[in-house]
Amino acid sequence: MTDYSKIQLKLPHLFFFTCASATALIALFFVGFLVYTALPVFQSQGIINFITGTEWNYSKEVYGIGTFIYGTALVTIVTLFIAVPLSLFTAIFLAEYASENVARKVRPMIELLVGIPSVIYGIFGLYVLENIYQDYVNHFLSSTLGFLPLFENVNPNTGSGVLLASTVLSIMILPTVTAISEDSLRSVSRHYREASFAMGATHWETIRRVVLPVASKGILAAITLGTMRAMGETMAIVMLLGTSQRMPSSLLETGYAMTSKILTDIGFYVADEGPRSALFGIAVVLFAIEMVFVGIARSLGGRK
Amino acid sequence: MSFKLTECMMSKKKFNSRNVTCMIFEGISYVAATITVLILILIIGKIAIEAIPSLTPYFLLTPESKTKGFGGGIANAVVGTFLIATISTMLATPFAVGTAIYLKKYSKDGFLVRSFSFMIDVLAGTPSIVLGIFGLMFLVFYTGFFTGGFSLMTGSIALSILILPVIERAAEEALDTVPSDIEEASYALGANKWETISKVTIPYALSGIITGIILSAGRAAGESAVVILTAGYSQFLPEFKVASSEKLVFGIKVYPFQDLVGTLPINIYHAYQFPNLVSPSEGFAAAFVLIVIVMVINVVTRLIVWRHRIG
Amino acid sequence: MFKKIFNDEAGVSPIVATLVLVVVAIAGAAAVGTILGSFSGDVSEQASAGDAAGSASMELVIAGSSTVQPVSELLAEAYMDKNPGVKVTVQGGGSGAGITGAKMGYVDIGAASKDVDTVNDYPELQKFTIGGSGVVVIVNDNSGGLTGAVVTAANLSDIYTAANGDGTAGLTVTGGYLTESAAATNYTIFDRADKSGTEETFAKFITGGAEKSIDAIASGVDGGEGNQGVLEKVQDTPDSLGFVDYGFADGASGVTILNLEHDGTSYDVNGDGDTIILETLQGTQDYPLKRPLNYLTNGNPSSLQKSFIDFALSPGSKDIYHETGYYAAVEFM
Repeated sequence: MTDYSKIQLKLPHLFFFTCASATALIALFFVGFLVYTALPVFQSQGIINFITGTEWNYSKEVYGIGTFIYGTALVTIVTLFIAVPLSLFTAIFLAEYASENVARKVRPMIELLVGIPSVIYGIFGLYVLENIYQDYVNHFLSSTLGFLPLFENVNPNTGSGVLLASTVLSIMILPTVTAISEDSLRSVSRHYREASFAMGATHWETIRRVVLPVASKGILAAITLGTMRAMGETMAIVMLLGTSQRMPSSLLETGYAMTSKILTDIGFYVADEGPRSALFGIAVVLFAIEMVFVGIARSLGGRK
Repeated sequence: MSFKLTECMMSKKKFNSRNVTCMIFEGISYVAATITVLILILIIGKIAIEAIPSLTPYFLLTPESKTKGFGGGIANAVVGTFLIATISTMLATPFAVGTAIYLKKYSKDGFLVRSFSFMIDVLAGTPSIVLGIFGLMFLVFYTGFFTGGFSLMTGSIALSILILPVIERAAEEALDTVPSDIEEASYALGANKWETISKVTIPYALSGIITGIILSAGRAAGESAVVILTAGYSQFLPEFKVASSEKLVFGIKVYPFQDLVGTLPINIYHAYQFPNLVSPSEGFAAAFVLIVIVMVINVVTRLIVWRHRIG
Repeated sequence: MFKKIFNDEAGVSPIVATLVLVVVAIAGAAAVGTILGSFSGDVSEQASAGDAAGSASMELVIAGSSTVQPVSELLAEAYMDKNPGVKVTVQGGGSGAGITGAKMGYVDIGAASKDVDTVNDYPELQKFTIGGSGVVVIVNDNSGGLTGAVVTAANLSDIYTAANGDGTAGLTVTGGYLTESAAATNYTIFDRADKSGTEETFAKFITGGAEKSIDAIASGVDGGEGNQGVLEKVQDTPDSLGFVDYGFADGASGVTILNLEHDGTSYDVNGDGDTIILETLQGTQDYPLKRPLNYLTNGNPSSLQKSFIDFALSPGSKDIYHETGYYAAVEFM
């Protein structure tokens, strides 16, 4: 081999290595910058106090984000309760029951839902669903299930609250969860199904006892990805969850999520170092939670 | 699905509990799918109906600067949305595709590479607001001397960080679809690694890569939390010129890059933020236009996939 | 047709082609408009270059408080009508972004809806108060029990503290004062969702200057986005209480402005709010809830910045402030 062709071989390698390094540097710098800006709040409050504290007071410089973590967690959990059954059965329909012809029409429509930007879901929830929830849904839930504290209609004059935010979020994550679950349902080998049918199992029994267990890892990965999207959502949450800094005990109550606290306050406080650092602190915690979920999704999804 | 052996009743047995359970769950699946499709129709339909009163040619073709106060026109935002989506995608693509090729074809599996791959996944899952405040502090304030503060450039850079991992993952998946047989055939013919990658692997994976790129352009077009904190908003149509400015690097301000830019998601946000100045209908009209843009992007992607299948 | 768009393997169906055409047409038209617009912009720029001689850039970027944003937007339009060739871009971002932007020089004029200490905190900034207002307490008194009630800072502090738990407080009238009583009719209490100068003014007042944010004493209270958002919340909620800038409450249907008592002086803001707030801004009365709207420049304003700020302070701009719910500085300075 001549020197020239050696260089020719090395050059692309070097180029792609540079691309990858640049990406790595960008990612590292991004994380580093977040942590650096948030550092003062972790130093002044202590990480544990910052996460578990429930008082957030700019004048006293006490920052605890327990309330916001609770808000985010509650909304996410309720979202999963609505979205997971719906998307799982939709995925089962597409993978098992629907004819190829029907599936080919339904699938792009579901994919279309992915493409709708979150701010649109926000105003859709605010101007369309809010009134419906205020007048009918919340009213109905509190009158039938109101004996449970979970469905107490604390603010009957507003439709905003955990349930409304979760409904809209579940529409947002529905396509993601459906698409990935369907993929993993379809990837189950037909030999398993045929063996099950040969044993005399009905279609549902085959799905329940053979297909779902085999596909369960993929489905869990899908749910994890959906959870991440729900937690990280900002615009729709600001518009629909409300901004009352308390821990809602009822689903019809308003609350405050981590993402919306950052958005509502950063513009006013970006000039002041303490509050700014506290808001970046929320971002860092959010980022850390996200990292845990990515880890879970990867170990489930079997990525190297 | 190639086989459709069993509807529950086809087992020709009477109504025993197993068959009834089977039918119930089949029914639930149909209902779930119907609800999902209905939701889509309801959302798009309702937005379209609410949008119609405001959706006039005047509204679409007039920049907000030509109307009184807030609202009234969205031409500035339509152009801005196209600009920011295109530029951010162009910025992210070389890094993303290069990284994907490096990871798939050059890197050796090791701790560093695995952590890097993990980091990209984390970056892909970053909530947009986190990226937004990063952009606000670092790109707008700390490096504003170069980026022009709130500007198209700042917004594009922030968005490109958002979509970089998305394109990277799509490119990796596309590279995975390339059968190793044809690469090996290329090596067997005496081609070296670069020749194989450039003449065999990339052409084969190209439609998949392009699909990923175009879909991320759609994502960039619809992003709001990042844009509101980095690109800001401008009522004016983007201009194309260079002017002197003592506040920026080299003493010049390059339009539209270092200038503020308006985008559709912010128009929609204004309908929430200033309900007394921007009517909901105008918000929905902007939303409708944004959906159409994203939909067109999706259809284009579909066409690419379809052409590839035929070709 | 429908079948085709939603089909995985669709070719170019007529409806898709139409969609693509429409979008391309819109983009094309807008692009042409842009190019033509920038040409005419250049021409008029040359024509009126003398108007603001000495300034290098014929362009102003105003950013900051979303409270000031609508005022700035209308001021900018009026200013550009008079000075063709100057381009004034207005955007939000929050008071903090306005202060930081002006400090670092990336916006020409920063807007802040709170008082900015340009002596100690930001010595590099110059402050121009362009307008102001006063914050008033409003109620939606659906059950009619609060007629004629007067509030004090202590009353409000009690009410907001009581609302800390679930966002509601029992309200009744005791000896002419609006007081909190757990046994009385429950009222929903509101504050601001976005942080703002209005909230800061109000929080400082009811806590005697100790707190900058309502969250500190009543974190469980729900909020509305902006003055208009709070007003609408109160209007839409039978039996509720909130606070907004006077201009938003004045003449609004379904809400009553409460009179206020402070340091032994009673302020009849319900009947005569206009005079009281204006005279407070002028310094002849002392309504405790006044708040300024500020423009900030980095150092001395350039001739173009000065020209715009002068325009904002000119008597002719007065109506713009009224239209958006505030008072112009010219009325009280």
